Amino acid sequence: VKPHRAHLALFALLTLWMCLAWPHLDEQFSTTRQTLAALAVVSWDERTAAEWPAGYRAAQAVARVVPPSGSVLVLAYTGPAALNYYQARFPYYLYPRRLRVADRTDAPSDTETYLVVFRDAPATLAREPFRGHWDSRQLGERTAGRTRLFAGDRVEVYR
Amino acid sequence: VIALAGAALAAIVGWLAAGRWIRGGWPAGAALGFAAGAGVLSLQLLAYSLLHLPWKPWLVLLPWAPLAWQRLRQRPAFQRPAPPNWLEVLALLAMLAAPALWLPYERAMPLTTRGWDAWAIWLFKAKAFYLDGNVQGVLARAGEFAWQPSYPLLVPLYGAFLHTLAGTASDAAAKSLSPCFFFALLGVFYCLARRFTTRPAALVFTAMLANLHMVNIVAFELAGYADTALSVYLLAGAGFLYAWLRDGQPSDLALASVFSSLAAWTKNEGLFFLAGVGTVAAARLAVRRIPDWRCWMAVLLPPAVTVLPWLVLRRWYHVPASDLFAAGRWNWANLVPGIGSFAQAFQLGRYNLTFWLLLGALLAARRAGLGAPWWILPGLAGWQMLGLLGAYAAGRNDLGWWIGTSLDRILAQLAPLALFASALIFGALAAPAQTEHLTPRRESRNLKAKRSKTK
Repeated sequence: VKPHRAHLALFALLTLWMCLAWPHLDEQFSTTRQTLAALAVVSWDERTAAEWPAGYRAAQAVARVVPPSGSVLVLAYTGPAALNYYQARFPYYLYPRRLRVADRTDAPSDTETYLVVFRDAPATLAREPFRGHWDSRQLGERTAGRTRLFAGDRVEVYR
Repeated sequence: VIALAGAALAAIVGWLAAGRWIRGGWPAGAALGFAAGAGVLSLQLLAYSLLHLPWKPWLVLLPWAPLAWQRLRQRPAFQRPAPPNWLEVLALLAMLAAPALWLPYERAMPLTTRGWDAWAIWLFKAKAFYLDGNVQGVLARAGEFAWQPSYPLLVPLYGAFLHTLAGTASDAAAKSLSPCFFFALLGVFYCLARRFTTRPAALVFTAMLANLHMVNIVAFELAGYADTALSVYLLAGAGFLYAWLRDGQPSDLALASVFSSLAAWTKNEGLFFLAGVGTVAAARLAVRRIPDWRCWMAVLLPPAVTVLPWLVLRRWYHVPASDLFAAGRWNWANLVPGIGSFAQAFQLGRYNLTFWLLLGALLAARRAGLGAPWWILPGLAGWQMLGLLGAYAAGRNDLGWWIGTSLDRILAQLAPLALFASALIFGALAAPAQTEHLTPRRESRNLKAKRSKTK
């Protein structure tokens, strides 16, 4: 194979490769443009909040009022898959606090000093309904003797 | 800025640590230096943690200062490369296409719902290590979190180094490690390919790798995962093993062993890879009766430094192992759908022509005349697939879920290696006259011809 033929063969291969890659590159061009238009103007904090609105704001509230050495029980009114998600994602934002997330108002709290009541966004609950155990009277009894440190739209923090 | 500073410092540390074995110009020094440096820094943080030393950037970099001073006094020689031809210019431009589209996207995006493993495993550990200032604090609480406590620590500890450099727990800095490993992957691929084939072929195949969709997704969409780092170490480990089998240089064996060990220090799949590389190297040393103790040290020392401390630490803290083969519920029926799922590799949308080219390379290998060492490259890719099948058969997870959530990433880890194997074959076929001096069999033919002429 002469050198220029070798170059032509490699050029043909690269062209074929790029043709096959083109739909993805085109799609990514639009995605990047839209993403930059929506996110480049806001802070990192706001971007994270936009991606995970209810959970991130709740985690921020807990981080503000519970010290790093604190131990927290989160009673979450949310569906099973979302609960699994929060069990993994809350620790990312709240470490080194000790954390347990449950979807039952009768969840035992042995060592936790702080109690967090979290109600998920209606849109998330519409996608996946709550399947745990939620008794408002029982919840009232559990929070009655505690000091409320924070009260927001979807989250309350008690000590 | 932190990402760039971290990458530059890692590249310098890696170059200081392994520079004596690295051949090639500045792309080789930067790419292989970064890959080695990220591993060295992670091991250094682990050592500091065990010695109760604080993780201050200056304290981490201090031991490298005398070596840096010594190296700076020996001025590195940079060769001016020959001007590129039209095909090389085109390949360089094509190489920029996907990274130019993906990098601004990755920099703008926060950690997303899709990046589960990033915040649940790899970057969670990085953040926790940084906040504690050691690894022991998290390991002592191993049973508390929904993470994989037994996964190796290269990526989390390098992420912790980036947090340390930033002076705060910075998601943006930590997730930049995946794009950095992506660019290192391109550099390592080019350097290895350039060593064994022509420059146009090396550049064209590097441009193809740069635009490989699934590799782009893993590096940028799933930034914070360990898969891109692993693919760098798999490629470098296999590439230098091939170089050693072909040329017999002990420095190549040392690099093969270092990068294979770093693969094992990155993800559990790397342990299987290290076992494959170690077995091949030890078998060759034993069969050829190579008595050089340095070669044996090169095979044994890197795994001892990287893998053993972690295994001991895991046992010390009673970290539950995620050993796939320890499940003891072998389900051989899983092999059939497992093998069937590998057909995914031939989806043009995800992997382009990568695995089709590998098939073609297997068929054309004899004609290309690269000899027996070349077969180690597809052999190691096959070995990894065999390991995956073993994991499927162990029946630890639901097979459908497992294939759906991980096979695309595992194939993306192997795609650079598959493409490298193809690059050598098609590079040799496309330009045999120019690769004559690079292929062992043709070299011996030439030598024979020269000898007969002189006679």
